[in-house]
Amino acid sequence: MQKYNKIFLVIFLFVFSTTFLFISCAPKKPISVKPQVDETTIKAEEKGKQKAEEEARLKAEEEARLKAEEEARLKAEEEARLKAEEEAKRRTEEEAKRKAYEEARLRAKEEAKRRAEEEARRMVEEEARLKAKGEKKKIEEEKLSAIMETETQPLAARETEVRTVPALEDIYFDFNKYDIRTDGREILQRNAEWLQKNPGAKIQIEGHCDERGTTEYNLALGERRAMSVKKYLISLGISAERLYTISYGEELPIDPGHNEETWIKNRRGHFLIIIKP
Amino acid sequence: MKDRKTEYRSQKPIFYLVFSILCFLSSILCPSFADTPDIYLSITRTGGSKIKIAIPDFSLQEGITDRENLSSKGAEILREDLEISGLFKTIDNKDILNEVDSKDKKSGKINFKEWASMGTEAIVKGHINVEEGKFNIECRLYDVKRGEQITGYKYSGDRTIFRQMIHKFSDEITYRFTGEKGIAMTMLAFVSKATENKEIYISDYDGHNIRKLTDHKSISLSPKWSPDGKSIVYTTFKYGNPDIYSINITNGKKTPVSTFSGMNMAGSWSPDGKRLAVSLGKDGNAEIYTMDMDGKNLSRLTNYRGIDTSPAWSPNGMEIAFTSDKSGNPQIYVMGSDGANLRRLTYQGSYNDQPSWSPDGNKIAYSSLNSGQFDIFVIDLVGNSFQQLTSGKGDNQNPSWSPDGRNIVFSSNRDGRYQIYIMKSDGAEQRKLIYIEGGGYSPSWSPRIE
Repeated sequence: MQKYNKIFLVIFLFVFSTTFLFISCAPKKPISVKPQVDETTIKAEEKGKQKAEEEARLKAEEEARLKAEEEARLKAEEEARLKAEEEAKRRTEEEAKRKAYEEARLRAKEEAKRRAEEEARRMVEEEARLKAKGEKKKIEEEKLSAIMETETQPLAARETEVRTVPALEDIYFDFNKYDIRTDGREILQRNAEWLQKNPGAKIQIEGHCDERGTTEYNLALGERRAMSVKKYLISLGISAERLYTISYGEELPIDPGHNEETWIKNRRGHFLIIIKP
Repeated sequence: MKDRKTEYRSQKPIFYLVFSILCFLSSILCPSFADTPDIYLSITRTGGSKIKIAIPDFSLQEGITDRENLSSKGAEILREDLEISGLFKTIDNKDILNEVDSKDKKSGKINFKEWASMGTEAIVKGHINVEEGKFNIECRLYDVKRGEQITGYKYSGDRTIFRQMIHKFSDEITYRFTGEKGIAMTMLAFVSKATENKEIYISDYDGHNIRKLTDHKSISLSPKWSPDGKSIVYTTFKYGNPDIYSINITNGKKTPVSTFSGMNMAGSWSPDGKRLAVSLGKDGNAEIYTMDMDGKNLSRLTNYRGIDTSPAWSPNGMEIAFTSDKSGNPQIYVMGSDGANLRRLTYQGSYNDQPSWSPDGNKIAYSSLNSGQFDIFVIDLVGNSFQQLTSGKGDNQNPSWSPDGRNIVFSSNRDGRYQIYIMKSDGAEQRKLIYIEGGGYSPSWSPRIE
């Protein structure tokens, strides 16, 4: 056993010393090399290196040139082809899009009509029931608070024609807020009355912000405002299917000024009626 | 006891043997891993010092009249590139530069000693010739101390890519000295109202070569580059609702990505380019979702009845920073990319938004309302500290990092209308990068484009 140990020790010492030799001789990381190496060695190396580098450079130049030429040619061809393709594609796409929109619109219209009818029927029934019970007022109040609590989904009025109606008044919001103020409630009450008198009318509610704040956050804030208005109108008995929403964030200020006076005017909920479809 | 000792002894040599063999192998292998022969290390940056480089005006093929001043323009582009990189100091005394250069021309060789006396460590010489309407630019980089050429390239192309050819050599120089890929070939995307409507524009990273990308004649917002640099997602009102579209920057092809009712706001691509983090209003209030590039496979990450917006994917793909008003006003939060492990990041100020991760993932730049005006701040996620980068100069918004993490592009209205500005990532050297009639908003810096 002792004998083997000695053999191992000898092997170990041998390997260790070889390793040590290698470690000490091995080139260190180039970043720490100080230019203290023998001048002549570098020059000798450099000559070979220069030649190789020159060759590599020439090769690289030639390659780069060929590549650039090829690229330019391909690019020109590709561009011409893409242009033609793009034009054709654009036309077919536009056509397809128009068709799709038309279909979607018709479907949405039918669906909305069906729902509106159903809603109307339900409301008539409900009213009759409530009248019978004589507690209409109480229940309506309950309904109001419940609706403000639940989420309603946005409805986008794509590809429609809209116009303003003097009867529908704008409402205003506080900075960075989306709750309906007391003055806003009164306005929405009047707007709801108009909607009840014009049961065929569908409206688009636009949410707007002042220029302060970021583009992204203001888009979300404007949407919150439009949705608050929508929810409030629903709570006043207007059917959700008649209420489309869109947020323009800070993109469409009514007054382009940069002071509190203009900001107040720009933080608004605006109403348009949809005349087409 | 005795037995154990023997056992121990008998194992020891074997252990040493294995260990020494490992040492032996590693001593052979390691230096070859550390060696990166492409990179030129005779001139090295120590600490934050910059490499001094001289770039005299390019020489021009004989017999050509330089009507467009290309010889000085070429050198100017390269000088600017190297200055923006933050790694080089260019010799800015043009008189001395051109004087020494003309001596070189007379003697037919480079007088390295004379260049060395100016304190310069490297020189670039460029030569332009025109062949059948095509430009050939030869660029050579020299080591002054050693008096030898480090690298040389010849680029050719038409006049429209004159700047790109020089940018390419700038990236080559950066790579030679640092082993790091340059950013001179990267691009910016931004919004401008140069026509009547807000449209998406792109430009070279130095603000030149501005091109209008969309023509929706509507409102188009918030462009964000894909990780491969080939397309941009943005939000447009073109079809009656704020929808997300994607546009291919080479052929201009537009593809609908997310067109739910209510707001669709593009936020950020996953680093692998497969998923998009967005803010959708379809549930009645803005929530963060991730989706495939065709708007399918929706995954909802937030569930809070308020505003959740501006998602930004971390560079390692593990986390998403975003803005939420759950505390009563907009603040920045971070969550896992599956929506778990939510934590609040900002507590200072009442309005923090537009988080943007540094490329190394250690920092997040954001906009913060600070005494009535927006300023750009950086929060250090490692050191848990934050730093204000802009102050006292109008509103400053939309920070976006350069792919090397050394620069931040942003929009500012410090001179009236919003324009695109650039600064170093520590807030130094703030300057206007792009002036465009109609203003510049929401800049996004492209990745390195291969």
